[in-house]
Amino acid sequence: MMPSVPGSAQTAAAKGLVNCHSCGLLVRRAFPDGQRLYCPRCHARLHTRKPNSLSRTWALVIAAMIFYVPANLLPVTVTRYLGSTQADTIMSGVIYFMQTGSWGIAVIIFVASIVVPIAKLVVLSGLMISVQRRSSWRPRERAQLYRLTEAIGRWSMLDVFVVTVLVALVRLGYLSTIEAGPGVVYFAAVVVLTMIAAMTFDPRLIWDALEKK
Amino acid sequence: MTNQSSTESDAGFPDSIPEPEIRRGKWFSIVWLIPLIAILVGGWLAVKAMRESGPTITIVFKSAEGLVPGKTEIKYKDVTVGKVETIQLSEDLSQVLVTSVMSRDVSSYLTHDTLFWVVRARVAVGEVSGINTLFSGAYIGMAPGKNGKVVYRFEGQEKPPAVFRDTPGQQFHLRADQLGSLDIGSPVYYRQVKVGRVTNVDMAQDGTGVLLEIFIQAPYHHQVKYNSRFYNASGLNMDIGTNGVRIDTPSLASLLVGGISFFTAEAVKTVPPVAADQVFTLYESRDAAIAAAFSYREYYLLYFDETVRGLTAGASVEFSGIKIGEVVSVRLLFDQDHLTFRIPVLIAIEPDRFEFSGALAIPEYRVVEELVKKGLRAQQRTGNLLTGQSYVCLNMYPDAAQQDILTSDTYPILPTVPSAMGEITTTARRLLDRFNRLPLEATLKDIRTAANQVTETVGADNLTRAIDNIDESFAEFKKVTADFNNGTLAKLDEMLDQARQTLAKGETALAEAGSVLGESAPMVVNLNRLLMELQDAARTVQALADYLERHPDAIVYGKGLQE
Repeated sequence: MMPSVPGSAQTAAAKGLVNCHSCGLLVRRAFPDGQRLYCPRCHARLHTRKPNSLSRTWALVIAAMIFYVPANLLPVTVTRYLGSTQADTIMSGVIYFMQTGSWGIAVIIFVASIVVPIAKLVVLSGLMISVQRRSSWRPRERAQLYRLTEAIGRWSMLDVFVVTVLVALVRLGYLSTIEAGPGVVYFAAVVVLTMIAAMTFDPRLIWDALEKK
Repeated sequence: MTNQSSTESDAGFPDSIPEPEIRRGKWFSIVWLIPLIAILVGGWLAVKAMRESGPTITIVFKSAEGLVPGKTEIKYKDVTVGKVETIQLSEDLSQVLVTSVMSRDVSSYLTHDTLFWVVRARVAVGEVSGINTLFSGAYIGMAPGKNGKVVYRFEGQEKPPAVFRDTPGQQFHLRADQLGSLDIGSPVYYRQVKVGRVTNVDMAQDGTGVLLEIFIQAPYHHQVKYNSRFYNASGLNMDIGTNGVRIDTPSLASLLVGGISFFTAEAVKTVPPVAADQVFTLYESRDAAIAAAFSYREYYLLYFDETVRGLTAGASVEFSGIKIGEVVSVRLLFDQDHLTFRIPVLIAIEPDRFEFSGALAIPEYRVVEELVKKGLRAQQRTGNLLTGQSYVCLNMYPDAAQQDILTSDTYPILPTVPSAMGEITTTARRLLDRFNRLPLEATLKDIRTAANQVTETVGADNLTRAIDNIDESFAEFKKVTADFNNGTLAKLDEMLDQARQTLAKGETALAEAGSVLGESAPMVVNLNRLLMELQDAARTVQALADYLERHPDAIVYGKGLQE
């Protein structure tokens, strides 16, 4: 496996160099651990890897997992239609569209609101577990998975956008109004937290494990 | 985590690569606050959900029409207090079991008298309700129970309760002959204000009428008094009479859907409060209610042996010409024991129609008994000679034979006296009877015997002697007459002569007077002249009057100007 991995080439870290995240200045790495390093040019902190990447990502992923529960249990839309009030959760909306035959819409909502957030949480958790276990299993695929996670993350906000647009558009007074339910807030929190979690995760850790070997 | 040897880095890179600044710092990751907040929020939500979720109940309905699991709400006063979770059929498929999660707020009110019903669009009498359910779908209405222990299985009502339990007001009972256009929910009006509604309709147990329950809202329930009268205000009450056309209807709504009105009659006495079990009569119309002004009636039974032609139900019962009640029914009774016909007439007397004075020495229920002892009798009389309508007249007959009031198993029986016509007939018959019973033949025989005796008497000597005596008497009478002619008549002639002389003297005197007042006497001449002058004057005045009549302006302008 080792030879096929480009990471086996000489790295900056191996050469005692560190790149400033902020201004891109290449800095010679200081040696004493337990001290904070700052960029001499822009005074940003210097890290060889994203600081506390694992624990931060874990914290965000766990928070996202917790928020995922109310996001799915609480209604995301409250529809008032001629005096009757109907609160819909994400899943009840999916079921509604399935029952009314709008399979396309059902699939889009299901993928964007159920599959993607869960996939992100699962993928991130899996990546972190694999990193912590210093697994060298298929690092390139794992890296691709991570990039996919980062790329699709924001598309989960689709739901929030739909709800926002509906709330803004459907205001027919007594006839019909749609209001955002509390579930939207938690759902948005899940999306944002997973996005941040994906960002705080340092994919280089995947390769670090290889280097160690 | 990447500890490399410092010698490598020093060796491989130019010095132009700057050294980093080194500052001391303490490690603190604020990021763990995020899951902490998430846990707090999530925990709070969980606690809130647990606190809000109440018991799960099952409501049994006949049909689940309009109910959607997971969507249909249970509402009390339009506040959602629960939600239908599942809808299942009962095992025998006869009913629908609706399982609902109730809010914790109402959990203690889910007692055995809690009512649930499905609110659908309902066009009930007088109002249209639940229109919004046409669009929003049905929901389940709830009327919380008041007392009793909490239960989790309920029988769903078919109809919403007409009146909610917590509505202040009072329930009253009515009895009607027939329901008419009334139904549960029909409005009740007082002075044309809607004050209540019909809450229940039921057939009387003996099937002789309809029992209605009405609910009058506070504060109007105080208007219902002991002597209040309810009438069916349904439809149009039109009266065309000599006074013109009179149309009476409480409201357009009641014209269409019916309703009940009531009024409270003015009372002379203080009105007792409505008894808890008082059943009011529901009259057919306002007029009927007014006519039947007196709700309390005492019933008496009269038995007539004579014809009651013209006596019908509704005929008045009068005392001294004042109506105090009416005839309720007239029947024909065949007494199988004695093979006779009797006519029982049931009358109703309304004691409220008369006023009372003085204190009562005897118990009230014995008053009539006492009166009967003193001669109170009922009699059938003809009220209208043209139509032959009869009425029942109660009157005191102090001379009537002592008779007691009879109590039967139905009504007390008042003694009757025959009607006037019946009395005449009876008397005549009694006379004839007596006449028939006279000993005519015996009498005739007696007379004949008497005649024979007379004949015998005439033939006897005594009679001849008597005739002789009469002859003697006549002779004496003749003698007396002769004496009268001789003496008395001569004196009478003398008197007449003297009178004649007096008259002659008077004639002479009158003649002398005539000469004084003769035609040529100066007084008479003067008088004649005066009269003639007066005549002339009168004629002149008449001419003047004639002229003035033709020319009235002559008074102002004078005569000459005109001519």
